[in-house]
Amino acid sequence: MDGWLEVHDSTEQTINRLLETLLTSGVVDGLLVPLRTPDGRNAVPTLVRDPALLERAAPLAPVLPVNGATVLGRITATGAPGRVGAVLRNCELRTAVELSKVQQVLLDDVLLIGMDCLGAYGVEDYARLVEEGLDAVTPALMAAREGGVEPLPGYAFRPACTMCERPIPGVGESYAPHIAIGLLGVPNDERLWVSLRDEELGEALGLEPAEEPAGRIEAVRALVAARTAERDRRFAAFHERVHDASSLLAEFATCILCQNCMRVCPICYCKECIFRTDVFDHPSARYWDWAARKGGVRLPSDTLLFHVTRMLHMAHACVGCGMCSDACPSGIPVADIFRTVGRAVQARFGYVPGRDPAEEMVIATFREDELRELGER
Amino acid sequence: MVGWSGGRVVNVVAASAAAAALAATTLTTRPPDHPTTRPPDHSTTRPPNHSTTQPPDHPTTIGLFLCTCHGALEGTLDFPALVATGKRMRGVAYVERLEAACEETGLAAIERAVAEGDLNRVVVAGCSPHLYADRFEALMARLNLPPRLLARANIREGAAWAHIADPAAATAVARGVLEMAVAGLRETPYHPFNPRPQETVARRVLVLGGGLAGMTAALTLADLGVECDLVEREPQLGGNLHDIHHTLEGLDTQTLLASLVERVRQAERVHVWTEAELVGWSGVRGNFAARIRVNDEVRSERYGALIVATGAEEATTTEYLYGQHPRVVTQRELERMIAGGRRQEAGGKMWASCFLPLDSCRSVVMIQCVGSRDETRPYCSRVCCAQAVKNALALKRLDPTIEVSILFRDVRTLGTQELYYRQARRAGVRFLRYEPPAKPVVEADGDRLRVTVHDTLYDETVTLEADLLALSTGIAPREDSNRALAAMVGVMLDEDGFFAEAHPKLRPTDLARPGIFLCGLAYGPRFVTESIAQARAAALRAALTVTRPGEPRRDVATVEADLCSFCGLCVAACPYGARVLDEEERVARVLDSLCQGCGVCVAVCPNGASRQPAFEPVQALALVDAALIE
Amino acid sequence: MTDFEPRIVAFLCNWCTYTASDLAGTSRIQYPPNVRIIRLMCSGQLDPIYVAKAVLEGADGVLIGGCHPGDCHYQSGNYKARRRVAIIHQVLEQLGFDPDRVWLRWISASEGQYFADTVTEMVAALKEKGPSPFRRQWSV
Repeated sequence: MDGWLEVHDSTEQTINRLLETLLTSGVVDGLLVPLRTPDGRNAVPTLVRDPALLERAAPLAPVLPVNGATVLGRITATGAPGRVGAVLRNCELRTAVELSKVQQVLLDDVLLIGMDCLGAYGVEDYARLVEEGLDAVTPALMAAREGGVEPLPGYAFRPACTMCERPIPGVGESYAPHIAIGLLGVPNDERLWVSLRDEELGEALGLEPAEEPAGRIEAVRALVAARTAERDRRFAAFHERVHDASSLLAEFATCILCQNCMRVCPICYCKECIFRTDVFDHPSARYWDWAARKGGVRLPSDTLLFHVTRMLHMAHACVGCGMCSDACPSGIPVADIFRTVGRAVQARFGYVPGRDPAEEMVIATFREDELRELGER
Repeated sequence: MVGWSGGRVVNVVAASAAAAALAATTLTTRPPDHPTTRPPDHSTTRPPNHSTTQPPDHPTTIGLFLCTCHGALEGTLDFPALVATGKRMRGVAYVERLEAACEETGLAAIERAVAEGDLNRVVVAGCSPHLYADRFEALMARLNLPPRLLARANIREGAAWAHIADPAAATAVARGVLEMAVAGLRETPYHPFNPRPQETVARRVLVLGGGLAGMTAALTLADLGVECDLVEREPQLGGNLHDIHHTLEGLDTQTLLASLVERVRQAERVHVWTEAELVGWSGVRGNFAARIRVNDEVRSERYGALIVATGAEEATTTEYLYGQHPRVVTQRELERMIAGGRRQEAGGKMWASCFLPLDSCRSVVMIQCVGSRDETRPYCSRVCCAQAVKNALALKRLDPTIEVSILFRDVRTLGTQELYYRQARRAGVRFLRYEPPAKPVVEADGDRLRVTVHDTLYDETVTLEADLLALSTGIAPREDSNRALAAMVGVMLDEDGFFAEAHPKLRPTDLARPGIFLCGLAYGPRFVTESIAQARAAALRAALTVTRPGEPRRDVATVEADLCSFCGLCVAACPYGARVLDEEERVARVLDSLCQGCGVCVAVCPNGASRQPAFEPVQALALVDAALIE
Repeated sequence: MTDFEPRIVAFLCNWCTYTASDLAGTSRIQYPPNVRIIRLMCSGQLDPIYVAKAVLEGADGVLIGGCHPGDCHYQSGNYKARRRVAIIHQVLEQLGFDPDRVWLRWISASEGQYFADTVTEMVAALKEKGPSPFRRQWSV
């Protein structure tokens, strides 16, 4: 069911009131939603059970300190005592879908709430912006009404956001959140475009059924096209930069092997990465062996092996959330690399991560009649 | 009697010995009535800190044993150089060159060196790890060392033989193989992995092939109290025995056949499936899973052991006008004619001349070694000389005036068969020796045949007029079906296309894979009596396999609980349903009895929570490193 | 480049290609001494990390040998291996590494000659390509 939700006071408050209704009416028993930290410089996913806390809810705050699907896993995977409503950006939603395939998120008892993603800033940038007394939300909404998504002057969106061609929930996906809130190409200071999975919820929320406005469809299409172009530009730029062994080594030259990219990657769901287990706990003599064979050995060892292994393990399911680039202290464009590689792997198998919880992961299945060119002379 | 009953080849003698032993054991012992079960032992947990490669109390001391395979590898591999290199390898505390690591003396030498040198890891460099796995596992057990601390370095098939033309290259490859074996062992954690016992052994044997060997094996198993299924591809039991009417020694094989079939049909413990075929095989000794197609239905069965008795066939030929002239037949066809047999419609390949009444044959010529002992089929089919003598004598018995000439290369009547050869000579059978490339020439002469041969004994060219020409084409493997079966059950064929035994002297009825045994013509040409002896030996080996307690399982996968993320990729990957998710503990579990040890769950697990103790990831990565040592 | 001898790390299924390599040895079928063999129980046992390791440590080629489609001793391990190899190829290619240095071949237990031919062919192809760019690379 699609329709309009009237905006009273402000867009954000309207969304917050919707969330409050869900919680107080018992549709959900808890809400996973970004709350402004007490100092206001960040907005962090919070499991809220007391409706009073929702006055700090910041569903539109353009910041992504953590991939919300990771924390959704924490509160659902081993059995949630109640139903949770999860407010997620579209990349987080895709992540949740992927993680549900590997038992790290249980979607059974989750009410997914998505909204048009108008881009996000890095955590540091967002804090600085707040410190400077800037309001990031209102201008973004204003631009969105006209179909545009632009960062504040002097600021830039997270690189992953600039190349995100799937910012709109339910668009191009075969799986939509229970509630999708549309901000783009609609008069979002007057009313919000809302798509619901089930009719009953519509009545509870006081939704006014309507046809999707042409302006919105056009705005979404234009945004997706622009993002896709930026994505392809970044893919091309990566290939321009990295085309052989030495340029690949150069790409990772500044890596300090902090493994932050792995730790923040939601698709790297392993309890402990293999690179942090006994498998890579080499006896000292091994390093001397390598140094003997190759003349020397970079330490800590296995830097490139770490990244390549991560690609082999998870690129097929990379949702492009960009947490890795945010977390890299050396400024390595990890997300660009993984999206480029991921895109190729996904294309080979016609796999679209996050599209559908029923779509089997590339490494979890096979077909007898595929890839016939492999294995033959 | 085991020893001398003629010049038997060593594997046949060895099988006879086993059969004799069987005759002895059946009198004294019965296998236990219930499968033995050991208490479960799941102590596979690793120390919690994941730092396991070198516990201080177990410094790596590797013993490296280089086997020359009775000196056979010394011509190619530079053993002194390998010994010297081995001594320099980190972790290697002891190097010894052995004549035959697999034999008692070699095993004892290893045992002694390990005890004296306080060695805790063993590299045996020699033949393929496909051979003697049992023996070396037993050795490790005697040494009280975890079996995974043994590494086999394949310097024979993989180095000496594959590069026999280039000794320097072969030695370099062997050195690489040693480096890898040593590196892998060095990284293998010492902490003992206590293998889990196999819960139950399927006390049932599958016998594949319902010919003489298969039926004999099945009946022997039944006598030993072991249930078996006898699977035959054809509608009737009997196989090649249908075409053998008596042996050279005068044994009436048709009576034997009839009585065997009758006894098989009567035996309670033998279940016969005709027009049936094995279509799937997996598992380990004591616990195989088979899929058998009977009619259009596929049955799933469990077996503890398999006996391959799928036979062979009389080779066919296009030489000497066979298939073109009605009076050219094979020895087997001649035998059927003598026995008054008539053309078998179903066989199809038999020539119309089988209708030929023998009394119109005044002169019969036989040619030996047809299509045998040449480039394409280098082996000797062993039975043809005796078969020719047998048919020649039979013809002479029918009518002493029939002229019989045998054109041979070497008369190989073995042992006491020589007496019949002499008898044939006395009866007037002519033996003319030819030598390739000067083969006999056969020409059609109207209804008759003209055979020209250069007799090398008298060095003269002889022309024989013949009413009938019988060709000894020998025995050929059923190559396509052998190949398919070998691939399915995971064993090897020899270069001729017969099944290759694990060891011709020591394990003549075992195939290379534990729990799979071999008898009859599938193994190569042999006489009826030999097939019987070997079938009984194979049956004894199979019976022992299924009545002994289960072998400890070392190949099953394990789960590092503290690493397992509960993602379920292993569950999706496992083709046997041996993986389940434990919702309570949020950890994946392995159902040992279903696990076949393929390792697909290990490969799919991103962080090494799935493991196979026999092939740890540290070991694999160390092998890769060592493979690149220049 | 004429004296360049490629280094191939081969991961071979125990039931087929490894047995084929044994058969090549038993039959004295000669092939170039450039391959180092690691025996797996099944091509499906191949963890992609092993291939990554071999490539980054400077192997000039990686050969993966499995059972022909439909013949896997463990039902479907070869199909799973095939997917993994496809992933490996894609990743390597995107990173500017020639994916054609990683070969997957179905070689049954009886195909000793084919195993030898494959090694011969691969050595020739790698000689054409030259040494791996990661050979003796200390900074990986």
